[in-house]
Amino acid sequence: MTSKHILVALLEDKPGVLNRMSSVFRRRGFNIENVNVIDTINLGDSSLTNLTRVTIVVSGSKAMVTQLKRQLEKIIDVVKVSEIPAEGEA
Amino acid sequence: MKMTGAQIVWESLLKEEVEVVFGFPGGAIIPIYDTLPEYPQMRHVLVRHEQGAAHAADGYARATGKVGVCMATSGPGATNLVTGITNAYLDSVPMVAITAQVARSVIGTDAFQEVDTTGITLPITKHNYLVLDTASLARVLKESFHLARTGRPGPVLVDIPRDVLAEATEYSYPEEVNLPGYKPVLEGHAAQVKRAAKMINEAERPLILAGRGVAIAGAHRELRELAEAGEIPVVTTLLGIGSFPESHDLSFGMPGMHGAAYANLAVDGADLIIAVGMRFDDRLTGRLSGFAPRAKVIHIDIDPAEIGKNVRVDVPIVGDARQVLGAVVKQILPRGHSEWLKQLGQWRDEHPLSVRECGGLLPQYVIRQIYEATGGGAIVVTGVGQHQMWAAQHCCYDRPNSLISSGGLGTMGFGLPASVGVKVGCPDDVVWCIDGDGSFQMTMQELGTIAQEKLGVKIAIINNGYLGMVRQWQGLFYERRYVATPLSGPDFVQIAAAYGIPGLRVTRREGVVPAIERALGEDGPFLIDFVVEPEEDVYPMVPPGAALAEVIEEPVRGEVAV
Ligand SMILES: Cc1ncc(C[n+]2csc(CCOP(=O)(O)OP(=O)(O)O)c2C)c(N)n1
Ligand SMILES: [Mg+2]
Repeated sequence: MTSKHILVALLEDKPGVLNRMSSVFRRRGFNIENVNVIDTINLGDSSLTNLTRVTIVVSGSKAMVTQLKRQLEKIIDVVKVSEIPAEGEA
Repeated sequence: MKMTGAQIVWESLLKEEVEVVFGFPGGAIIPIYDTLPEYPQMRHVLVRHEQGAAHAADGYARATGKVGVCMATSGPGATNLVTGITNAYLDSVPMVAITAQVARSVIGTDAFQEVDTTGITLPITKHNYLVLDTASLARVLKESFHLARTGRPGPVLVDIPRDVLAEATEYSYPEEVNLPGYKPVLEGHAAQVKRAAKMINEAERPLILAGRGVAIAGAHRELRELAEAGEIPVVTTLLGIGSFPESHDLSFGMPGMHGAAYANLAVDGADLIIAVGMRFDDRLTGRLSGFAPRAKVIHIDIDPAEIGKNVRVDVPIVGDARQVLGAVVKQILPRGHSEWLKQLGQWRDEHPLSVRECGGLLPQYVIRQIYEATGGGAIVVTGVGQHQMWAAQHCCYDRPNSLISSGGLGTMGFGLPASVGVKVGCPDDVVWCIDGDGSFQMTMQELGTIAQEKLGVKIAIINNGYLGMVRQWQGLFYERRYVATPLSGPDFVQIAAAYGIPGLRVTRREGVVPAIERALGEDGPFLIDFVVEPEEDVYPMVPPGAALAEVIEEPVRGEVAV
């Protein structure tokens, strides 16, 4: 069953890291609906230094999103990926 | 202490206990080579093509379990490494590739011999680095070796601009790595281990499916303990061959496209598959919807992204194969599966891997004789094609890493340069390169490396005058239209002779054993050109798109539906 999912990834703030992420989307054929990138300095959270936060909206099956999450977590510069409930979900 | 970037490269390699580097120089990398004489303890093997450097490092790494190191100059040097790095990536081989880059000031200007090496290798490395200041070089190298050898191993590339190599900085090698995004899970989740053990204890027809992860983790002992404790039969993937002794009563060979029929029937009949350190490659599974239709699946792998990627898994366990198997074994109740083993034994008796009667010289016969003559003690390295499958089928591998072959990428040309690395890493082992006439011609210039380094590699060319595996497909699925697969070769014995390497041509059965004995009697390298039946096909075969149970054992040329 296809539905919308939101993934939030924290990446080390290094050159080329967005390229590494987008390379995974492209190569593994994930269709991204929306991406938002923000340097965590701008989030005012002192626990998140030298990181970039990427929010990804993707539509697909649960299995596909799990696979995407694991592929992203495999990137060395990706520190953490979590899924947050999409709108309309509990 | 102050050191140049080039010195830091060698110092760091020594810290990582690197004893040999396979490489080829060029303009940008001269600074590294220029300082090599300061490190007489370091061996450098000069290859004839950078692809050979990567394959040699790969073969060295598979045979020794250590990280293989290769190096090349910027531009064409780096691009020539690409096939070899990809090969290592797909087979999870620990490797560090060092490339030189143009000076920082001209990066991005299409300077002479500038290519975007980190861009090109991004999808074929576990990780890569462009080092933009000399001060970070030691840290980057420390991280590279750590990444290459831990977790799921793989190649890491370090691209270093030539002025970074020339610049001097204060050097100290870091003790620790700090990689917040990299924390491989080694220990299996206790509750999952318990579930797996329960499932194994309850299974009537369990089957272990072991892959290269077993050899990487050094989990042979634990694998054997599990198999013996629960009386569980074992099959292996191509790269898992040798991780469980093939002469063991519980061994039932390799399933897959060219696996033994009995191994495929075993997968088909099992009610539980215990998959260890493998990734359900399509050449192994056949049509996914028909794979192990009666079985529940336990999947043990260190890479979470492999779990559930191709096959639905009932009990996933992320962890190091050795640790997980060790934990599972403790909870296994000793029990027998005599009915199941009887069934498997019967399938093996009814569907043996045999060699047909033939007056001519059959490739399978040649390979069996090589095996017999070495008493199974040799390390066999192969090219890609029919000969590769025959080498997997017709020798009995009892030792881990005794078959070294390109699995995931299926890279023709792997055999000869990989043998260079294997022989350098294991000088006391007998190393046989069983190669195809097509594969050999892709990298045969490495005979030069073998001659220069005086490496006693024994080379057996299975010369069928064809790109045989492709011809086989044309025969089966394209009505025998042999387009672009007949292949002429040079006189391989003369080619070897030109490099000062002795050799023989064998065209008849009677000549096989004496030639092999002669090769084994030589201290140095030796080449045998076995001119075999040109149109012999590899069987059994699971046609593409078919399930494993639909394995074809006999040639039915032109009658197989795709
Ligand atoms: C670099 C590369 N190019 C093409 C192929 C496709 N291919 C697979 S097997 C094969 C034929 C190999 O011929 P040979 O080495 O003579 O082995 P044989 O099958 O005859 O034993 C080819 C062309 C490949 N695997 N690798
Ligand atoms: Mg051939």
